[in-house]
Amino acid sequence: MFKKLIPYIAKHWKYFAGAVLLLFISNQLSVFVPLISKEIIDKCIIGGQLELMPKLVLLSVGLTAISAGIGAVRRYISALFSQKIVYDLRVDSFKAVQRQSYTFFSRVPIGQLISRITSDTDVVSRFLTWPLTNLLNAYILAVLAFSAMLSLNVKLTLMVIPFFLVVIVLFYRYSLLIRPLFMKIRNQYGALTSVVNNSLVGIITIKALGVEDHSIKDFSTENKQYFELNIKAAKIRATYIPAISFVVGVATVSIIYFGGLGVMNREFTIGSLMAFISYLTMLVWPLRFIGMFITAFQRAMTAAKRVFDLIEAVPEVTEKPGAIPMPLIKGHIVFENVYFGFDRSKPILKNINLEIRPGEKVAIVGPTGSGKSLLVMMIPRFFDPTGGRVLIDGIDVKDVRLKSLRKQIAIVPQEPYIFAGTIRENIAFGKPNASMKEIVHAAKVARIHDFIEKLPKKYETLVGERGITLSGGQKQRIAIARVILVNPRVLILDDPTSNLDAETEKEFIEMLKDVIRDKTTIIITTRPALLKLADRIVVLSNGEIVEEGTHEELIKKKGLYYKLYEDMVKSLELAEARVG
Amino acid sequence: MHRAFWMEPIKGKRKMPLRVLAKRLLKLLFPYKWVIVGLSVVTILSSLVSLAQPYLMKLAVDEGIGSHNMNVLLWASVFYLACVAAFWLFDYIRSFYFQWMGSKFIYELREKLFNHIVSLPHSFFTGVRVGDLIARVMSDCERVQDVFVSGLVAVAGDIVILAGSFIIMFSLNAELALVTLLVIPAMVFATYLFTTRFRRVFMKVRQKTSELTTKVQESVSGVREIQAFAKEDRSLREFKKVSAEALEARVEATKTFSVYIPLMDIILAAGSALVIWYGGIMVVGGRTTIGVLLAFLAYTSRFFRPIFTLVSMYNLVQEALVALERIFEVLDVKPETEDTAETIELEEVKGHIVFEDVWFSYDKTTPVLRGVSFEVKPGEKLAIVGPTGAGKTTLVYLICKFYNPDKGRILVDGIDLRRVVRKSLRRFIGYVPQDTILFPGTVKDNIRIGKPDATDEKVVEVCKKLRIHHIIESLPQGYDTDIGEFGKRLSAGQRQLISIARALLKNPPILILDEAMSNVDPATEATVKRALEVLMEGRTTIIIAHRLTLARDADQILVLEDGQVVERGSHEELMAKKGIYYKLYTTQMGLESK
Repeated sequence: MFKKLIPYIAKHWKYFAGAVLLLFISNQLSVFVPLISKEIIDKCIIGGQLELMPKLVLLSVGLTAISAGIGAVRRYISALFSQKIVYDLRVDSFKAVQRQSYTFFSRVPIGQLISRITSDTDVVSRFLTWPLTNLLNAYILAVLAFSAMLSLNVKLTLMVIPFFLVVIVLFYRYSLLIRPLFMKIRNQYGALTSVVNNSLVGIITIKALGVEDHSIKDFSTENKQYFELNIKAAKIRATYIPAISFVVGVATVSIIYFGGLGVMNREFTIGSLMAFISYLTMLVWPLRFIGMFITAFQRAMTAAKRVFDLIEAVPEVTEKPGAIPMPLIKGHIVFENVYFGFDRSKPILKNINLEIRPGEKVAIVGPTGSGKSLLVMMIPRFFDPTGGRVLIDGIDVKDVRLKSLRKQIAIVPQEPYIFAGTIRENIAFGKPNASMKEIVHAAKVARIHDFIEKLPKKYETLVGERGITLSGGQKQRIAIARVILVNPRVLILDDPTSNLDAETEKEFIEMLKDVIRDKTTIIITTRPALLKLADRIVVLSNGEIVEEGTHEELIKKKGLYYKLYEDMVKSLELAEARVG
Repeated sequence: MHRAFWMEPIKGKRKMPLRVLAKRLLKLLFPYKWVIVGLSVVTILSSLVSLAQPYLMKLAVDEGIGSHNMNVLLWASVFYLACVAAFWLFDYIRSFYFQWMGSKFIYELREKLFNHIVSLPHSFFTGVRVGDLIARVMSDCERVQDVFVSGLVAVAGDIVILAGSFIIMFSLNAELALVTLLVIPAMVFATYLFTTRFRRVFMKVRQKTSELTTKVQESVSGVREIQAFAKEDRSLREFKKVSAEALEARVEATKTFSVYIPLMDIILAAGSALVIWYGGIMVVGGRTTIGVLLAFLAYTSRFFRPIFTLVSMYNLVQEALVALERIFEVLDVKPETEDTAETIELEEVKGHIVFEDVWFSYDKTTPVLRGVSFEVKPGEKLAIVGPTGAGKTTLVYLICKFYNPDKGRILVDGIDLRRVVRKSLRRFIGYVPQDTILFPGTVKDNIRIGKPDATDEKVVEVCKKLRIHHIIESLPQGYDTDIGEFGKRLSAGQRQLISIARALLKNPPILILDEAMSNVDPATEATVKRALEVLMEGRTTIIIAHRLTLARDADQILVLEDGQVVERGSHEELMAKKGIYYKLYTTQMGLESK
């Protein structure tokens, strides 16, 4: 996993090298300060050379100041280093999310994405700031101490080695045990974020249903799980890390005892024993550091894995390497033996063959869940068929650049998303540089202008999470205004009038006639009035096209369409009877 | 018009004074007082044990090895080993209980925060961003744990060492000890100079973290639109901007801290130098001995080290304080139930609803409902029709008591809703909202959500009665189909049907359908509607519908326009009147049947 981080580190290697170097220098400098204190005591106080005092004191403070100054620069540089990497990781993972297709989002909870992009990257950065830059120092210190020990006394050194082997085994076991746990902890963090997100997004429903307790229980379960995992990790850490200090302590005591015996037997001098022991204590810090390092490392690596899993997730919908830009679309759309299913074994759409001629208006009807929306979403490649092809003007949509394709096709979804921002920004979403005149025109066509004008801040009114709440119908009309503004070649309307009132729908349909005049248009609808706009009607049932033809033909056929249409108008006829 | 619930924090100014913040923090930590005391004791014991080790080593060397006394060497070694073992034990306890307390603290804080958020009124959620709340529950809580829990005990140990060293220093040489103390005012003053700056930079850090979370949350929620309009580049640009700001805030904080820490280093170095200088002069002057000075210097470093630890924790403390304030900010929003007038727990509801001259506005200035009055008798069906934005959904919100009216009264079974405990009311209401929200899990779980104790049979029974059983059965795993987050794998129509089944499973005396079938195909709608007619028997039902065919069969139709009831009556009456309803109706019918 660390390998994958290397390119990121390499990109900012100068900061890294700088931080390590400066840390080394400031550590070396601080070694001199006690030496100066020694000089002061020996020369000035004991030696009575008081006149040297001011100079030496200033030197000591000055040296500290220089070392501190270097420390300041180092902190700054290492913050830049880690933050730049976090930035890169975040941008890359955000890009990766945007590349993903709809199936990915139906599978991966938003909370997991949020925690990966914001929190896991942060965990990686914390590792990069402190433990990584200190590693070299700890290593140098350990090597120096160890070689000093070896040169002092080989026998005593050999005696220490088994203890070090025990320490290494302990470190190894610790790192083995803690890693899967950290993975679970990070995943659980994501799960917890998801519960929070889901509950907050659905809060109105939760309150209306009076199921606050249910959502509190959900949260509590995940929260408790997170707590328990952390406790498990704490147990492992408490078992291994203090044990390492213990082993070092036992090593020291053995050296004192057996070394002491050796001194008594005149094998070596008391001075070398003392020096040996002091080098041994010098090793304590690097060893403790390694414990901390392993913890930080394993935690960062699991977080990095989560980030890279996201960055490397292969989108189901990808651009081919040599993809060409989609030429200006004429609007000839062909579905060729198209199959689709979230689960390959259970296709939702089966063997769809459909041809739509340029400028043709096609309506798709069918019972709830028959796969109407899925079918049209394949045209701008929100899904790829699991079998068969979708062609536009004879070109397989898989062969062209995604953006060039999607820019020419517009969808008005069933439940449009309104971004937090002003109404103007929301309408101009597809064309941010649109003039106010264009925006107002689009809003007028979408029959939302009058409503906007009534708002205190008009087009600058905030909508979405922090602004006013729009009704379903208002959202739909803003989505329609969005589409009108980009003037696409192919227009897909997914039940565009489901939330419109009668009056508005009538106006809307009048307006729509103009908008779609020169465009290939596909309308999913259940409204007879909208069906009238269609040149041809396709009836979908259980994922298959069961009927196809003009309204009149299908009515004559007395098949499923006849039945569906009857349902649509039955109540109306009844109503007319009452009116009459 | 909804008002933003809280404004952006004023830059650099903490709204809550430090004293209040500290007091509230202590209150949160109060349940852990014994753990904190215990851990502090263990910390002190372990420092004592570690202090004994050099002495034992000295004993072994001087008395044992030096004087060839095997016994002393053995016993010193044994004691040393005992110390090491004791240290191990203390270290184990500390290591584990630090973590335990930290995890437990954050677990309970999150629990408290989340429970509180869920209990907040509807109006709160129209003023905040989901991403911001996520940041508060997740990342702000974490910051608080890092510092106050792990840090606190360390500080307790440090303070003991600090005090101990000072007492020894004072007894060694009072004059010199006072000189050492000079460092403290210098440090306090320097810290004071930085405080405002720290607050400002960390406020920014937390805020940017929250903005980043919000940006990700919103971009992912709206990813379909972003992809559909091929606006990935712009969205990425915006993300980069927020992300870069987060980076800058962090770096800015480090910059401040990078100046602060060396400054403290220098003050401490100057302090040590001062002790040597002044002490040196004293030694030369014969006012103290060199031995005392050496011992004194040793203790000075012990005295300064905890100060340094405290100082290096200072930035974390500042960041945690800001995080804590963001948490308290949410906890301070009054929950729905904090209405003292709410005294009546509804035990049973017949479904008699009366609106008496009800006025309501979200922002207290632009009324959304203006003097609405009507009555629905138990078991009656009321349809509300009117143009988009007329206030239909708001009216329904008032029945659910998401809000209280500004003026006038709403009575359910003759009781003013202001006096009713919200939850007891909502138990009796089955509300199918306009935007269907499903939760992760299976179809079955989602239907059961309002009545978790309902059996599988009950769930199936409701769906059969609603005539949607076959639709659910046709899903890949029937009732056990995992629908993905927010039911993304279902069509909008399927989601709405589940939402209706969910409301009905509660068997509510009051049923509210707010555009409940707008995305359902007509064939299914017709079936479900027929089924609903049976299911509506004996329930007071309120229907908001754009399709007037749904309204037609209601006992009473309310035509709402600009927050006012403009027409009221049965279908026949309103048709005869040839007013607004007549126009709406003939438009729709004429349009649809031509």
